[in-house]
Amino acid sequence: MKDLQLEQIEAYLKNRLSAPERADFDQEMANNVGLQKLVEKMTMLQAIVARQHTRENIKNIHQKMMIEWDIQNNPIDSKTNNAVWPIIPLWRVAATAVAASVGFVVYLGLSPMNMPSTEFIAAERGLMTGLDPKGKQQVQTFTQAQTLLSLGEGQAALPLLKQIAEDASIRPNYRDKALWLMALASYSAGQSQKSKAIVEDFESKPRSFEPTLLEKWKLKTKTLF
Amino acid sequence: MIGTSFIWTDEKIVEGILAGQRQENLAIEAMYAKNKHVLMSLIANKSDKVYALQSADVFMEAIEAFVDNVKDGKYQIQDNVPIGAYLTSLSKNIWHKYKQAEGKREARNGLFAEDFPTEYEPDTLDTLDILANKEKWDFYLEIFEQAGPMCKEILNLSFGGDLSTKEVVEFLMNEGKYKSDQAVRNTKSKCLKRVIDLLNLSVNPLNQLTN
Repeated sequence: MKDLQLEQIEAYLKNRLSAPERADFDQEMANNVGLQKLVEKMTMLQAIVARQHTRENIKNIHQKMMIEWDIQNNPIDSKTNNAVWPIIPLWRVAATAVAASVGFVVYLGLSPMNMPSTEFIAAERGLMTGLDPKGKQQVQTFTQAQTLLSLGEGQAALPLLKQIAEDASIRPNYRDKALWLMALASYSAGQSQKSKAIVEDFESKPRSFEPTLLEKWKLKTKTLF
Repeated sequence: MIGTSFIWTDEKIVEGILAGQRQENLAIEAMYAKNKHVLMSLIANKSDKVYALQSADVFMEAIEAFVDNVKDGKYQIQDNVPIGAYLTSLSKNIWHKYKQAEGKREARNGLFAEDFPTEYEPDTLDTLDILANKEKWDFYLEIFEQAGPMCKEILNLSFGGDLSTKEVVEFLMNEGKYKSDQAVRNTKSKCLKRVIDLLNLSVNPLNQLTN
């Protein structure tokens, strides 16, 4: 295959030869089987290129239609004209649930515990100046216990909280609050089993003070390990 | 979006495809619009997005097979057999081919029936010739792919764009893809020879049947 020959065939196929040149080419082709075959192949190549072009066109139109009909995003049920919501395979749902659960447990285990506000007591009992000596002492004890707990001194806070929790003269709301704080203080003091037992006791009957569900889960998760 | 379907009768679509150029594109768009329900039936209830998009691709292949068949002068409009019937039948067969390739033979008698609408009873249509013609073109286009992207570009410009060698040289040098006139000419010559060699080496058994 010479370059000149290929160029001549190309010109012939593209009808770019003059009439005499075309006649000469036809004459040569009639006597040259090799040239005939080459022209056949070039004709085939021309057709292949045209089909390639058609394929690209159809791909572009297809893409355009898919976007126009929003099929790429939301396949539609032709019978109901409703979007076909993807049915997520069970294994994927299970894997996602496991991953989410693990993530939640890690969150519960790592996030800090929140303590009920101390202001609650003062507001409830009135100003310190208006309290009787016993009441003043109870408030001071409770406040001191919460301060110790907030400083990470759970062990030191425990007896003070126990004192409040077991004082029948104090309203149940405060006693329940102190019991809950005992659970926190035990955990803070590294006594997970004790903390767990206090939580169980706390949950064994209705309480006038309830920590949030999230706080309960946090402590339960922390005492698991 | 092009005209409404009542303007684009099946006869007009075939005429448009044969006219080529812009008319061909409009005819193909019209074919999509007229047969949207076929495409929707194919992808309907396929909850898996990838699976649904594969079905849509199958429809695209059916369109291409139909267009090729029209261009090759092998399609004759039949009374009471709309193009949609051919597209449904072709899609079904192409889908089946893919499923076979994936080893999902059980789909043939079970899921397969649920995958496709039977509105036109496409099994009664003989689409064997159209599919054989499609396979022939798939075969040749695959050969063209083997030539590589550089050759495809230069041959597309020469034969698809109907540019002279001089125009191809100018275009590619302006694009900064080649540094000299001779480099473009040499590449074009090599590409032509390569594709012709590939065509000589390849034997398409379907060629004998369909030409």
